[in-house]
Amino acid sequence: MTKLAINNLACQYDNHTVIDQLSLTLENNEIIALLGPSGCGKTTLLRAIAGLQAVQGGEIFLRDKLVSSAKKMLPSEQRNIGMIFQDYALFPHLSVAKNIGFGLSKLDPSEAAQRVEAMLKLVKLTDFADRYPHEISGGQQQRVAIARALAYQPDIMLLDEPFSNIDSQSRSEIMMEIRQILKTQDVPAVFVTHSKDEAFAFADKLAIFNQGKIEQIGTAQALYQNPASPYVANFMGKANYVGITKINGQSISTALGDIVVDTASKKNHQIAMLRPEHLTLEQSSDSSLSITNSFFCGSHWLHRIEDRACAAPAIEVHSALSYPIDTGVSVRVIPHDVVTFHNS
Amino acid sequence: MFIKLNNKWPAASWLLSFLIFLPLLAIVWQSFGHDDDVFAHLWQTVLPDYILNTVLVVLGVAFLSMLIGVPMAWFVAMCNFPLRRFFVWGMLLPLAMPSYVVAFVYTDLLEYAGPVQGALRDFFGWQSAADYAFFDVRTVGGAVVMLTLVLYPYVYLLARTAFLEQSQTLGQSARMLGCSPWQSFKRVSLPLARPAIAVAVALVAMETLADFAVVHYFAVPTLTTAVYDTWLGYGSLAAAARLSALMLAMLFILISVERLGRSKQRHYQRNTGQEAIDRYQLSGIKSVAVSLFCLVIFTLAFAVPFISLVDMAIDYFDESWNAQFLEYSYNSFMLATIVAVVCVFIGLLLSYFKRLSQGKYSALPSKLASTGYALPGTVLAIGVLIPLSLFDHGLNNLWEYFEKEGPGLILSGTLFAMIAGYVVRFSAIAIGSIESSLNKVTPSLDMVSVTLGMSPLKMLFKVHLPLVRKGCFAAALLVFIESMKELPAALLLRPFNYETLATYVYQFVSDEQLEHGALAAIVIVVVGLIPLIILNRSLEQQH
Repeated sequence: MTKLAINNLACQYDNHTVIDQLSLTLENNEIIALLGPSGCGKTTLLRAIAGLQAVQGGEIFLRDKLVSSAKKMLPSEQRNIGMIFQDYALFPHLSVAKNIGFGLSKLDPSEAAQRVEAMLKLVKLTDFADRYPHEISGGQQQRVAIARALAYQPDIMLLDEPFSNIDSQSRSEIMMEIRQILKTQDVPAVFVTHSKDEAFAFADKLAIFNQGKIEQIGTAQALYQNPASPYVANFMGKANYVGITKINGQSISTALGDIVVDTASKKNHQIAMLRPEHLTLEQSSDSSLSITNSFFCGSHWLHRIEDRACAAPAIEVHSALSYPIDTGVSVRVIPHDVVTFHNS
Repeated sequence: MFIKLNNKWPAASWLLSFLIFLPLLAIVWQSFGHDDDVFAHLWQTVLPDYILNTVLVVLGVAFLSMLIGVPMAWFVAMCNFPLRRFFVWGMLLPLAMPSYVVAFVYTDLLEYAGPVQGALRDFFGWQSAADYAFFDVRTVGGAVVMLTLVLYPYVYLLARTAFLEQSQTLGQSARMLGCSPWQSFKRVSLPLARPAIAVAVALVAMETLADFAVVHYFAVPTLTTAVYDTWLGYGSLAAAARLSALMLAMLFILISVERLGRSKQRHYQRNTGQEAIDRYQLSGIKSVAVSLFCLVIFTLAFAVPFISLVDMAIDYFDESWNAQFLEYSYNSFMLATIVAVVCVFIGLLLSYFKRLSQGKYSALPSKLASTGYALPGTVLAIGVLIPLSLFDHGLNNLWEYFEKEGPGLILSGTLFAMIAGYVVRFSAIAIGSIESSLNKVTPSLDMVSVTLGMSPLKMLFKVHLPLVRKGCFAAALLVFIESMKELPAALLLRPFNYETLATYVYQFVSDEQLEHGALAAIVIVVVGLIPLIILNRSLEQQH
């Protein structure tokens, strides 16, 4: 069953269009990340799904039921959605256990207590049941928010930048933990973030936002290796662009030499996108290229290379070796399935 | 802090704060001291009734203010309805209304010969008071209603702020977890606002406890009127001090409630202030009902008394605009100016001491000096009179010892007593205002100044004063306005034949001739509106 379907959605905020002609579906227990810079409409989309934001066009379906359109607006409290806010929004006047049980007032008390108990165990906070939100750490507050939303047994979970308030040391561990919980509870999720690292670690699929539209959607690997546009390519990682001077039968010609590719799909393409790890360099005294800056990244060195002869954009290259600044080098493309674009 | 002040500064701070704290000590000391049987006499006769009245009025006003203030705050903060933008600040206006003016206007309107009963008689054809039953305003119940009309804005203001400062995501979370708007109000908004409401109700109760004019005018004997009568009637400072100590005990309970509320507020309010608020759009009937509710309260608490005042002032303008009015305006103005300057000086001295001093108790002087504001005006006046008259009598005894004619009551019988009393009462305002603007100056500025070789005093003039100028001005203005309005302390401390606008107006109220004092009352109201405008503007900026 389709858990969430969005067709041609349009949203406006203060009379300017924030979301335009957007479509998205969510199957089974997928976790999808809405990824993009701030102000690109991803949080607005989340609020629209939650029923906290009116829509001006298109439809939103939850479990095949129409919940939002220009004409219809099902109130938030009837949508059966779990939502995790950036500030967690824990009720400061209620204990951890009471927070988790907040949405269970319709159940009979013993059943509610059982479910709270189970949730406390799930998020490993049984010993903290009687504490108040201000008495526990940020990571624990986060887990209470998750437990509170899950106790309500939502059809879908929405997470609005949930990890931005957690310090970077514990962030990856907490992300892993919460992903695990969502998977074992079989709850699909939509997750908003501006950090690609968070999206890589937490989501099954990524939807890259650009000015109210989804530019591309797919797994992290697919988007990294086959970005549909330079925008996506840049968002997913460092990219070098070199102009294509000529398309031959089996290869393309660039400033970095000829690259063997399948040219059938590259008609009229003008730019090749080369990630730093797809380039290799060698010391060379007769090259006009030289290293202008270098820094150590742990698993490799990143060298910045500029052409002394012309003002071409700098190229960034990974290398296992370090070189002194101003070393003359030559750069070669490692054979791979090169991505090319019409223009940048 | 790391900057060493020279010794004069701390010494002056401690001395000043001790002097300002002295009245409170004096009351406690005097109430344990020698007794002249007046208190015992009161205790056996009327005091139990006075205490009962006091408790009834305080509880009544607290309860009624909550009943009006909390729903109004929620409507204005969270809902959309006609005239909402006007009510946001309009509902605060009654704060500027002196309670005794409101009391007088309603007594005048509702008495047997007044327009309301007159109209009812005409309409129903009643001939005399025997034909119908009409309530009497000058009762405990009447006092409760009059005081509520001018004090409910405290509850409205603090509750509204509490609702506005609640994180929007809390309400949204409640909705996502299946709560209707009403349930989310009941289960989230209201419990979160509870500490703020407790603070507000405690403040209302403290103001009610301190009220002198309404209960005195209505002849509802309470502890404040008892303090006043015991001093002016029996001339017994000891008994007045004991009564004051009794009030202090009640005050202590209220302050504890207030403190408890404030400490809880820290966790309950996350002041982000950035989020736009999605207000509930009220449907037709409901929105009209809410508007009407606010309009009725506004009319009763502000429009009716203010229009009555303007009406009287126009009718009696020629009689009112006389030498006395000008003289008393000048008195009030001068007194308020002197007090404002002194208070700002004290505020600067103490808050700068607190900022720079390193000691464990460096916050104590400003705390001690801030206690006066909680004291009811009558109690404070007694507290000021005790040490001053002790000093005067001592001085005169000394003169007599040398067989010369004493200088008289040079402190307790002159303007000095009044200024001292006002300063004790209003220093807290100046200290609070200056301290909060000084706190906004980052400590790294101090460090930078010191590393650049400035002395602490030079730093005060070159760095801090320019930065807290606004805070000083606000402090001076607030103290000025409060001094213009102050009544009970003025009645007890003024020199013979000295009148301020407030005592002048109250004189006419007591004599049932407010017509002649209406012009002066309008001056007090208009001056009182200034801080509300400032307050409202700062709230608007926050939200």
